[in-house]
Amino acid sequence: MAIKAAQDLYLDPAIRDWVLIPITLIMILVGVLRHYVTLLLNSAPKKQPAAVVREQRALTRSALLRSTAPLSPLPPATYRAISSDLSEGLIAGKWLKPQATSEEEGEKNPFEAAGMEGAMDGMKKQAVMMIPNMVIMQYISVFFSGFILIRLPFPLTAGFKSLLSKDIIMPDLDAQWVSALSWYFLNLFGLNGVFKLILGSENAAVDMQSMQNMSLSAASAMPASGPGAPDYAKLYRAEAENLALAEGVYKWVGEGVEDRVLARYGR
Amino acid sequence: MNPNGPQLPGTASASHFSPSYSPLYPPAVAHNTRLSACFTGLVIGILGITNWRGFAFYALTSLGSAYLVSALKCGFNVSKYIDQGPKAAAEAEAQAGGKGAVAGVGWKGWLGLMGVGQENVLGFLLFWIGGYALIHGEYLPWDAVCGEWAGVRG
Repeated sequence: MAIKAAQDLYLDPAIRDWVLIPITLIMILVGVLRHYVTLLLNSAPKKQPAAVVREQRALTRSALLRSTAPLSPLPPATYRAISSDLSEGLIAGKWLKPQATSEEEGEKNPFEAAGMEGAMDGMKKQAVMMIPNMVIMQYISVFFSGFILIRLPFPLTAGFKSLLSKDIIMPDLDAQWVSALSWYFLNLFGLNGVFKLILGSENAAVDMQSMQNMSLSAASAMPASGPGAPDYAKLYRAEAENLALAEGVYKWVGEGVEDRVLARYGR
Repeated sequence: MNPNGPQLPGTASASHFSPSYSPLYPPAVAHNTRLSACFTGLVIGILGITNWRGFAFYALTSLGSAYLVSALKCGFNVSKYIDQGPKAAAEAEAQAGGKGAVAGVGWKGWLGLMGVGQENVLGFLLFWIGGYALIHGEYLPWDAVCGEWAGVRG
């Protein structure tokens, strides 16, 4: 049932048995392994004294309130009560942790260690993502190069040859005949969907590019509790100002709900 | 995820109140479109469909599965179930003064239900190429191809 192409080649079945299927199998298994290794590497967050946690949580609470302000489920009275209570507390420094007497060395070293651990964690995760991919790519280009693997079911222009079959030195070969490296790339991108199916959508086996986006956002979230010993008093004051700003965009989700319900039912 | 399909809203509080809230659970829609894309690819590869027909088949099946979802779950009123974007929402508000529910800009909803996103297309391609290569790759052992030379091979 295959369409007779201009170039018809016969391939050794050993290629199918020993290259096509193994590459896919290896990539699936390595992906699953990566997922579980990442799960294991995820160290539990360090236990910190209640005062420190309270200090951080105050900021979190305020940020939460602000972020839900544009479409807030809290009615105006509740929102304003919480907001003003938070502002007063932040400005007065009610939740700041009691400063240690030996401030200098007390603050520098623990934060340095915490920062390093956070950075190491991020780097470890990135390494877990990238290293298997690089190793497999090297393995494929060393062991599986120089022969044709499969034929694509759709035609391509000759420009794709340099990407998909550059190790095959046959200038007249149709671009449809590709080598093992292209199968690797196809698997790399296509298996993201398969991983999401078998590992659930929050898995650590997906592709590098999405991982890079995630690592960028993780890196930007780190300084909040990282090195540099953030001055919580200053942060509190800034947060109080932000609360005042949020007051301006606050909108209760139940505002005008009577009109919307009526409109929905055509009255 | 599929950029046109129903999205999980950004903040937790907005989950039930935001105007873009979709009664269709977005991860379920994503899961279904992913499954249908991969299975389509596999079936097409096994059947040996090539060239543009393969892509047309994919468009057809995703349209078909979107049709099914809309029939069974949305009562065919797709725009009610999937966020149509800010422009359509503004239109809807302008019209809401006069009449009732807007069966508005439907095509965006269809695109969302079809699940034609980067990840699904790549998954479809993977299974199509893999299935095609496994079943229709012309794998023949050396002896079958060059029978009379079989003994000559050193």
